Formats: sequence, structure tokens, C-alpha cells
Amino acid sequence: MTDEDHVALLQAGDEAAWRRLCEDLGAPLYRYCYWLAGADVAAAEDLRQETLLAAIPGIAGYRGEVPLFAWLSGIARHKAADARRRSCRHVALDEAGDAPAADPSPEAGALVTERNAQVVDTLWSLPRDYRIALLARYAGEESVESVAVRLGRSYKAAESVLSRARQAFFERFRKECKHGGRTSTQ
Amino acid sequence: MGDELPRSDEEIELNELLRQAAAGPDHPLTAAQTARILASLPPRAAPRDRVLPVVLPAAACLTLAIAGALSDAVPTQVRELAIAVMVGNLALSPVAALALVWRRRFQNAT
Repeated sequence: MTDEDHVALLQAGDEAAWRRLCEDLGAPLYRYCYWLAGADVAAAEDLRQETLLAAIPGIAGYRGEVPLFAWLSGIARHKAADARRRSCRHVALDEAGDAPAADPSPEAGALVTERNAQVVDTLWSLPRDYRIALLARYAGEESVESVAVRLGRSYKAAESVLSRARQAFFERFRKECKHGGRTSTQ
Repeated sequence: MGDELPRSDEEIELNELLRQAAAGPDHPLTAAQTARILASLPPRAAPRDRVLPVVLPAAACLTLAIAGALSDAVPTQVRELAIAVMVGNLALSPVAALALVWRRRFQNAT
């Protein structure tokens, strides 16, 4: 089934298609939400759930301009921003004049988690072969030969995929960093 | 083939980025979480039933044929034609019924 077929079934409200989306993208979406929520496990669970629940009515407006994961991460980003706004309001109301204890370096921590979120977003927005190759080679420390076996290609072809995947990754990643995160796709 | 070139700066950076991003916990959706998400799917609209638009003209045609076959006022040739239509209609009915059943099955399968 092509991605277009999958999206058409999602838009038709097909249960099997949504189940497949949950199986395929549930874990990377959690990881994205985890970094987006500042490495907060509970908040990441809530954020993922909210994102997927919002994706159901929102999928009708998805036109395929961006990969499906990027579209989901856009929803997550909006939800996280809403949650941050709510939490700021609560802090302002509940703890006015009572400043919270200062974190050793909250800005640095936020930068790291934001960058990690962008890495996950970028990686899962790449074509499948690129993602498999990059994860195997650079996260799994596998040899090029092993990557070639995974992709079912020759050594030379695997090298070429890796090279194109690196280029695609950095192009997208730098664009994301430059714009400070994805613009809304909803 | 086994002698791989030393990694470029870009590869070292990529290695670092991916390792850090992968350091987070791995939480696939549980069956309960997936069920909660699937439960919020709107009920699928039933496929439009196009049985009536097919059956009504056929029934009207058959009624006319029966009336033609039974009426003494119509010429013999028209009556013969009406009988032929009736026979044809009866012969084709099982085929039409089979077609409807197969269509239903196909819709349910997809």
C-alpha cells in the first residue's frame, strides 16, 4: 500500500489504517513528544495521546504537502505550546510573587531537548530507506555492508543511499533549526 | 570493501545527534491506548444503497409486461413481446440477485 492509499483510508476513517498509523508512528511520536515536553515522561504520554486524538478530525485537511509524521509533529507542537501557555497561566495565578527555584541551566536544557525533538522530527520525515540507513549506520554503529543487507542493495548503492540520506537530513534539520521549528501544517 | 574511510565531520555530527535523540525512552502505544484512539473514530458512513433505483424500474417494467400479457386490448405481437419481457425478467432475476450479493460482500471486505 502506498502512502497515498494509506492517507486515503485514514481520511475515510478506516480503523485498520489508523491502527497501522498507531503501530508505525506511535513510538517515534512519543519520542518526539518526550523531547518536546522537556523530557517529561508523563507529559509526553499525554501529548502523544492528544496529538493522535486531534489527528482524527484533522486528517480531512491533510493534503500530503508534508510527510505524515511531520504533519503529526506539527499538531504535537501546537498542543505543547497550548500546554505551556496553560501552565504559565497557572504559575502566574498560583505562585504570583513566589518565584520557583532556579534550575541550574534551564535554557541549555531546553535547547538540548528542542534539538533532540527536531532530530526525531527530521529523521521520521525522511523517506523510509534513508531513515533505516541513517539509524543503522549512525545510531546502531553498523557497517556499510550491514546497511546494504538491511536495504537489500549492493555496497555501492548503500553508500549512495547513505550519502543522499545525510544530505537530506542536514538540509531538513538546518531548515528546521533556522525556523525554530515547523510551521503549522494544520 | 571492509576498509571504510574515516568518518567526516558531518558523519560525526550526525552520529552524535542521532545518539542523543535516541536516548529518550521507547514507548510504543499500548493496546489500551490504541483502543482509546480508535474508539474516537467517527462511525463510517454506510455505503450508499443503490438497490432501489435498480429494482423500481425493473418492477415497473415487469408490471407493464404482466398488464400487457393479460390484457385483451393489446395486439398479439405486443402481447408476445410482453411475455418475452416477463420471461427475460424472471431469468435475469437470479443473476441480478447474485450481483447484489457480490457487491455487498466486496463492500464489506474493503
